[in-house]
Amino acid sequence: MAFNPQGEDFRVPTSVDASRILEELAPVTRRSRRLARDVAFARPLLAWGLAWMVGAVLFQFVQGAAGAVLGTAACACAAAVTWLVRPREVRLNTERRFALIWFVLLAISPLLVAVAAPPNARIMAVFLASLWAVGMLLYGVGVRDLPLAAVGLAIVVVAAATRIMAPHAAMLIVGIMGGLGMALLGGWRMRWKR
Amino acid sequence: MTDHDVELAALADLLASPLDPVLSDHTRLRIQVALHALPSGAAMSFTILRKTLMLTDGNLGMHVHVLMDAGFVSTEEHWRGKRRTTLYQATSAGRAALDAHIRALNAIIQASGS
Repeated sequence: MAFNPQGEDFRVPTSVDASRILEELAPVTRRSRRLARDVAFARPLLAWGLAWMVGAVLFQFVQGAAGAVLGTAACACAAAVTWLVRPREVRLNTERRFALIWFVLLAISPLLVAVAAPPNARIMAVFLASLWAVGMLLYGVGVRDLPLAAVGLAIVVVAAATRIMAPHAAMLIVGIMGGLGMALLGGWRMRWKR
Repeated sequence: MTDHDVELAALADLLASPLDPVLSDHTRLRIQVALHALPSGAAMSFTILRKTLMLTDGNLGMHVHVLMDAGFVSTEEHWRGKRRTTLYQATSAGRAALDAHIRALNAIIQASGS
């Protein structure tokens, strides 16, 4: 079908039309960015949220080294899910750069643990959780994802508060609350599927 | 040169920015804006574009093809297993055309206020 964009329908808009057209474009921009963000981050947030909750429970209640190993395995599963089910529907063109940033943060975590020298494995887990939550906060600020930044900030605050007030249960509380926050955000972002 | 002359010269510059006939259609303008909202090099599938704009498949498909014919939108295909996904992105020509079109709309508003 031939199409002539300068057909009979073309006319120069009045100033009122122009104002209305421009006003109608702002919601399109917001919706486009929000949907792209939802598609890109829904599954990773859901996977990491569940991994934090399961990992924290295992780490807290399974005795000995097995708890730490199972907790770490839960996080490894989340990392694998993040990679394997990355969305086909959106490409933000920043994935590799941010994956590298996350990799650097994870890779230097043992060094920062050595610097902080936490007194036991559970406090070390709280320290790592708050460190990664700072990563989430900065990432959220960097990509203007305020809900993600808010979850990161909340985890850091909860980690600091529980470390002071309930150090024995800090890891469980941070894992459950932080994981729940991520999972709820991820679940909410899955609404684009509907 | 008085302030008024300077204002008129600035307005004349703005009015020199033409409305793009392809983007003068409201649906095509919204499609281009949705793709322009993503960072350069970013892309989205037909499904996400349709959900963003709440259009029917037929309507979106027809207007996207006009934008592709104008060189404002490009596509790339990705395969994962047997599933194919076509991603749509704004080209640099499309981004420039949208910027010029919005400048022209602003010029119309500004001209009516002068």
